[in-house]
Amino acid sequence: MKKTLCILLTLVLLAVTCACKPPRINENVADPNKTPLYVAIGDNGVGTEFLYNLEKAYEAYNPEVDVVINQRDSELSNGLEYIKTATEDIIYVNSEFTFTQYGNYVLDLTDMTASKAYDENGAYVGMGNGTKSLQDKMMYYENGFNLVNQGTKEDPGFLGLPWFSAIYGLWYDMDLFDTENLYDLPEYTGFDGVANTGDEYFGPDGKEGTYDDGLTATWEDMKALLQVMKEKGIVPFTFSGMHSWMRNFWLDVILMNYEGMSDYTLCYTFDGTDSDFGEINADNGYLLKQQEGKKATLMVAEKIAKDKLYSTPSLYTTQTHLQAQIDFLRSTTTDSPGAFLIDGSWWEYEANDEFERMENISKEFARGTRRFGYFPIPRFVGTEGLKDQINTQQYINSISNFMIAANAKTKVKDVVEDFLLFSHSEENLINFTKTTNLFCLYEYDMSKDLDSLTPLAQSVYDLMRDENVVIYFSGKDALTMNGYTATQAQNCLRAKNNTFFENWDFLTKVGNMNYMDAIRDMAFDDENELTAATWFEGLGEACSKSTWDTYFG
Amino acid sequence: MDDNEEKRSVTQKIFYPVSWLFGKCRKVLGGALYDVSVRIHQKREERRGTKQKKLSSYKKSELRFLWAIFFWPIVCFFVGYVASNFNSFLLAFQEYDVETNSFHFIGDFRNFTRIFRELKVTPGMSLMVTNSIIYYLFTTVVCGAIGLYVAFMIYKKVPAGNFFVVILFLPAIISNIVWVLIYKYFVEYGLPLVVGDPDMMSLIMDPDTSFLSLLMFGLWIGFGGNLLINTGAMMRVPRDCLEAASLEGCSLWREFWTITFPVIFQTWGVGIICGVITLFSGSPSTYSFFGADAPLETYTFGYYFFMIVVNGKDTELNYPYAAAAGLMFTAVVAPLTYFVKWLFSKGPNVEV
Repeated sequence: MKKTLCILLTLVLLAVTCACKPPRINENVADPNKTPLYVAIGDNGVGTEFLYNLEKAYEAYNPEVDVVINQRDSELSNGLEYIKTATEDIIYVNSEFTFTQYGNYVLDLTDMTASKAYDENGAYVGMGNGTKSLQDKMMYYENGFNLVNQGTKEDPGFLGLPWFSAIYGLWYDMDLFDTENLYDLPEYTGFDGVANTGDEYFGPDGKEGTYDDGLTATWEDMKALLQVMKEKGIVPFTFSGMHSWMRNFWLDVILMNYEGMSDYTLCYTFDGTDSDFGEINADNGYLLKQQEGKKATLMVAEKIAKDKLYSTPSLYTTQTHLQAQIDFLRSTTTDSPGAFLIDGSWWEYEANDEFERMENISKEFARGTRRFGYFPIPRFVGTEGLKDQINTQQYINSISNFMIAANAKTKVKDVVEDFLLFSHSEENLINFTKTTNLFCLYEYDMSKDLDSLTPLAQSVYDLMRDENVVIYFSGKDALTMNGYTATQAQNCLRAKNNTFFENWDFLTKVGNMNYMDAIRDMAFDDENELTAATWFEGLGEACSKSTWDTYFG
Repeated sequence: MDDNEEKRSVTQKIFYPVSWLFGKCRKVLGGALYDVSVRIHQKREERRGTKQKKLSSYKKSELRFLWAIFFWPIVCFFVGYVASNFNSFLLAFQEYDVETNSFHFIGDFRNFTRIFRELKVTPGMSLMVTNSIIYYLFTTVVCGAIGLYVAFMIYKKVPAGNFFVVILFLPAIISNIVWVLIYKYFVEYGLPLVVGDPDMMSLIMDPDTSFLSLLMFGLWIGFGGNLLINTGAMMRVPRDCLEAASLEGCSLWREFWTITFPVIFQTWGVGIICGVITLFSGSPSTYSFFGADAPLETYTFGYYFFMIVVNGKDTELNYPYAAAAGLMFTAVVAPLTYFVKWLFSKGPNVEV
């Protein structure tokens, strides 16, 4: 018996060694007769299909180079940290554009990006042979340019290139809206609060013929929509329970849309003029804790939490973002279909396996056949207890911390630069978008290839080109849109005191307890102590004048 | 014959005393010379500093083996403990400059005063103090007591005792993440089925029960932690002592309290003393459960300082602050550890 137990235990212990893997080496071997170019890529939800396509295209363009792709999921899970020990020449990584610890490890790409390497149509013609540079292409999205630029506008510096940009927000099931007649509800009252006056059905921008027609123009209209959904047995919201940042990120989008760029960025610089509080500086920054936009956001959180407008697993720690996607997609076959998913636009590609599985049930569930769209943030006009929103622009949150960096230790610098420039040609950017349905913050023309995109991607394309829509970056990255350099953004008051400002926007004190996750905390509040009103009041208590003076005095 | 005898006796008479004298002189001289040579030898060794003994090949190979075994741990100790703590000490008096991407000395105690400021004003800090103490007391008192009880039952060879040993020790073998997943799925999907309420909300997400859920997980996982040490210590109790106690009708509790516990007291105490060190650095697998998104009510100091250093943006800015906090915690925990050690030294120390 003992011998058997010992053998079993030994086997169990040996099984642990399955997790071992040999020391990191370039797993795929390059052709010895060619110049090798090693590329590392992690798990970023976009797969590697585009990279293998790029490999074929580049090897056809430059037959003397053998591109070797190494999948480094675990190594790259810690962002740019991998560059310190990387053996690859180029890495595709999820990382912010801050190089405080990595400046010596990444190749300076400034000269490469300044080189005129593209013709007028964006085709790659070789370094110095064209009329357009990569910087010119980046400048098409000036905010993206400023985010990535490590220098100044006059003297830019680039240590990494933008890889792709994903829009974060609320995605709605367009097929469900069609079948359940959720567009243009008769309950809508529009901006004037009166039904049938003609302003109810053109969305928050109030313009006919744009992406948001038929959707809710105001928060009051959205409440009506949610009520109709509830009556029809539709589960409005699905989100990840494990990652609280995902639902709180969406609340940040609401805050941005209410406050607008100027007031939003004040919460990082504490240097300017707020539309409600007047002049703000380092002495009275605590006032911004109770910006009106936070009240609006809390009202949304209260509505979702108190009326249980979310799927039950959305508040389970086992509900990962992938599981949330699966639940959302599968719900269409149940009696309680889901209407909205809170995620980034990468979600459709990330859930590819689930789409393929569901395609076996019915072709109409295939990716590209099911239709999803971006649900814009309604305007807070005519909401009781809340000042009317002044900002009329639609701000969409761009998650742009996806980077391409080159290894400073590379022995094939010329090939690296050639490859990077080649990969950002018109054709290759279009191919990237066609494969992943994600967009890059460069100038390129997708208008002729829209049919190859899924309805979601087309929705994002229309969104990004809408004149009322502004792409913004959340957090201190938003400062780069206000003329700050990346280094200046890192030096702002909030960034330098990051522990004090941890969760500052929504951290509240109600009674003797502190709360920071509005949807979750209100959902579990059986005694009804946490409401939008008490939470908002508690914001001031959590960071009062004395608190501020004690810390900064 | 007589002449020979006469000659021998004359020879003996003359030379015997001479030879006796010579022998004596030789003895004395030899001893003196020997003493001198020993002293010279000793002085030579003293000048050399060490008396180099020639080692046998067995001893040499034994030394080589020991060096091979201990070399790496010693290097790790110096690098991972001595050097890192020394660097931490220096870091506590530095500040990170974003523009130059470097640390520079500030020569004052602002990193230390920041801790007091944040303790006063940052919401959630006082809760962290409470949670850290609760976690420590829970693992020490509750888990320690239950662990002792389980170890005693296994020591007393309860039915299926060996099976329990394997099951309780499994968490120490299999990765913590696996157990966290099992626990989460049980609490969120299994428990609603068990209690018959499919709409039951997650106890791990509920602000009122999330920290308790983590503590319960720690209790379940922690059973096997000191099991082997405690049962090993209990086996030191002399059998004849137990037999005598049994003959005299001693109950199980009495046996534990008056015989077994005094014997294992010092061994058990080592675990308690070492636990004091985790007062400010421990956390109930918070990161395994929530990653970087733990709810505020589950924060302990261990989790908080881990997060500000490892996770998130611009973490270099926090290195000096975290280093200063570490020094301050050491200043609190070190005397506390010595105090607890002193307390335990007053307890029973039974030699068997």
